[in-house]
Amino acid sequence: MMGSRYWRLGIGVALAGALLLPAGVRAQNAPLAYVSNEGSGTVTIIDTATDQVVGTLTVGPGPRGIQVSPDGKRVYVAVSDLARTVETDADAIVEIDVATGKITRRIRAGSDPEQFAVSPDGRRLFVSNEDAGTASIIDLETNEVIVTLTVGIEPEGVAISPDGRWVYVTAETSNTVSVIDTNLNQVVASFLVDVRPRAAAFSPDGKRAYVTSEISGTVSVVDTETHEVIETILLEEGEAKPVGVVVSPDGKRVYVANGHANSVSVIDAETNEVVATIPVGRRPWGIAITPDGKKLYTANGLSNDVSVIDTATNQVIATVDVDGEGPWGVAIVNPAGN
Amino acid sequence: MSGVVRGDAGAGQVPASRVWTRREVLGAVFAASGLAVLGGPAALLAAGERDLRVGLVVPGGSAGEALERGAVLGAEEAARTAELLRRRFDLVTVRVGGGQEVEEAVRRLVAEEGVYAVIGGADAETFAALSSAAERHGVLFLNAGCADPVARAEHCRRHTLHVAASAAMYVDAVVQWAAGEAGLRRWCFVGAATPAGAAVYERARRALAAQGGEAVGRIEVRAGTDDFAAVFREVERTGADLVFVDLAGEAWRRFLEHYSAAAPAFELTGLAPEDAGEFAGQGAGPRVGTWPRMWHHTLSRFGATQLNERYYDRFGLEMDALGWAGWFAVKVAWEAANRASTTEGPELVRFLESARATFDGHKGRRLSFRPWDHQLRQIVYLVKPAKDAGGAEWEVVAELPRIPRGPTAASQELLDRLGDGEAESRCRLAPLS
Repeated sequence: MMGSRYWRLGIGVALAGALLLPAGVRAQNAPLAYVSNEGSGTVTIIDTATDQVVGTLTVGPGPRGIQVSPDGKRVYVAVSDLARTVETDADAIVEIDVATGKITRRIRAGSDPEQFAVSPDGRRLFVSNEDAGTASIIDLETNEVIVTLTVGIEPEGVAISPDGRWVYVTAETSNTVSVIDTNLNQVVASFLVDVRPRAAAFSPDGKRAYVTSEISGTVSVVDTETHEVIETILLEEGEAKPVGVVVSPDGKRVYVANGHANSVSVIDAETNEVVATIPVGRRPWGIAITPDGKKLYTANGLSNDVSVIDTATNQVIATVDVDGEGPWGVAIVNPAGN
Repeated sequence: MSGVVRGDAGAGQVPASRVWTRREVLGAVFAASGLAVLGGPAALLAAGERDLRVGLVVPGGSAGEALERGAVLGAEEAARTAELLRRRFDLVTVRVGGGQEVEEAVRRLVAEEGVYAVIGGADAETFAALSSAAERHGVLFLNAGCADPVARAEHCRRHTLHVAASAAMYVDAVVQWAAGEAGLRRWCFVGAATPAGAAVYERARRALAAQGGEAVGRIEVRAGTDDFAAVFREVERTGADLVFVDLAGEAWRRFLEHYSAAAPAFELTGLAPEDAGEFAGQGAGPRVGTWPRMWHHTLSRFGATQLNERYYDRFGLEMDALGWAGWFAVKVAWEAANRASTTEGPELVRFLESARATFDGHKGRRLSFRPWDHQLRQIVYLVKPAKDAGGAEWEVVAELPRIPRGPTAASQELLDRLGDGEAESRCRLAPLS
């Protein structure tokens, strides 16, 4: 099916270039929020200086996980069709050149790629393959899968430590986190967290990781030296549906998108206490923070918009219509490098 | 069936054969690999408890087979997770010829296989025997199939917990939908002339009245009845707009056949046999009526698609209600031992009664057990023939109780809208201190 694949790529490149709005409407050098829209097969670009949509890219069916290269020059988006358990030509991680807005390549990443992480040196991708119960490590220079590792059942969230040493892969059904040592390319530990773990994020100093558990309504705080859960934080008396999680650049706050609870929880990373709960749009999933830590962006899948939160006041200061369906993930591109 | 020590006890023998499986081979390799397993509650289990073993006791027949399939999938998944944690999990299956063989099966499962929990309840007879035996031997019993209100009331025991939905939960689901939403409030009841049939009728009549409905007739069907034409004539005389049917397997099917052929004016609902394969694309019975189910293979949200696909990939069959219950019961047994850091029956029960014990059944809500009657709080689905398929397939038309949108909806409070509250339950266990 190579012909089919190239045909899709051609269309993607053409549309991506055609739909990017003139660069003049955006503020110079301001970070951009890239939002994957699962239902419409697009990525919406928001200028974080003005909170205006400055472009829309067509990337292929079902875009969900979205990440940025460390140098801020490339955006990676996981795309897949409805055939979740069968790898098709539509399943890939697409690479977008930030400067041109064009898709520069498609990286084969197994069936139904959903979440992934980029190594701090920009050379590797770590991808969870939900139906296969595996995690794949992909060399970005060769486009080859280096190794496929067995992890928990229904793996989903993937996070990499700031130093690039550890990758945590959460698994929804087994309630586990598998720890990959990137020096060895092996799973070296596994531990249990609460029910239906969805995502993970490391603190900037790499000493803590935070794992959200959707059904329990909790966040597990992990000591990354021992890979042990040291505390569990209950959100909204267990009725939050935590999914996406991000830590502020200064490490003082942890922000959790509460999915079907339509809110964001703000956790003090020093005390591990919830200090604020912010109502946002419907079903916030992905969450990202600007490099200066001043603004949060949540992708609201059921209201087709993005909530912009001022972290100083913990208030929503803007709601951006993405002009797409089912916003899922959000990533911040910093022109100065991520 | 990898990861599962299996045996066919036939006339009540404990498993005669042990099959060393791929998983057991992999387990040995894993143990030698030197990988670290760190932290988490599982690490707190004593060394002797790092190998966890659960028993499954099922009678022959379709209900036992369906329950076993689900339990096997659950056991394989638990075993795979156990491997990650450098532990082992096994399911020991014993097939019994009837309730009289259950006590000996449980005794040997506990004494010789070291199981800390048993799963079963494919019928009322084995449910009752398992409940008694589990209490006697101090092990957890997870009822995955029996909804019989009389049997449950008689076996209101500390070590017995119900994964299977109760008859009262099914009744509340259909009453809330039919009387509360569809406006069908004149009901005629057709049920078996048994104590359980009478109990279901009384419970449904009360629930219906609470929704402003009225029981306009009750027809008892004696065992072996063939003349459903007479039953239908009686129903029509009542002027009912809905008939609630509570019959055992074969009688239920004959009633449906008659309904399908007669195409009467009244709607049809009730309690369907748990092992009715018709709902999972098996059997050629008529597609009529609206029925409450614990699970359906067309569910897609909250990871249901993935679970349904894993089951289909494993068995080549759609996941049915008993399959889900068997799978979920194993999940509860495995997770409870890990999270409570014990395999002691009373301690496991204490954990399962607590607010900490929540589980994911791919139903989108935190599932937990009611402390007073040990019933699993869960969503019940209503299925009816799919319009798009010309009635050849079933589709889910409602999820009960209705879950309002918003951040303040508490799972426990919402899910308690189905089934017996503490005040009306015939099983009221005092909280463990």
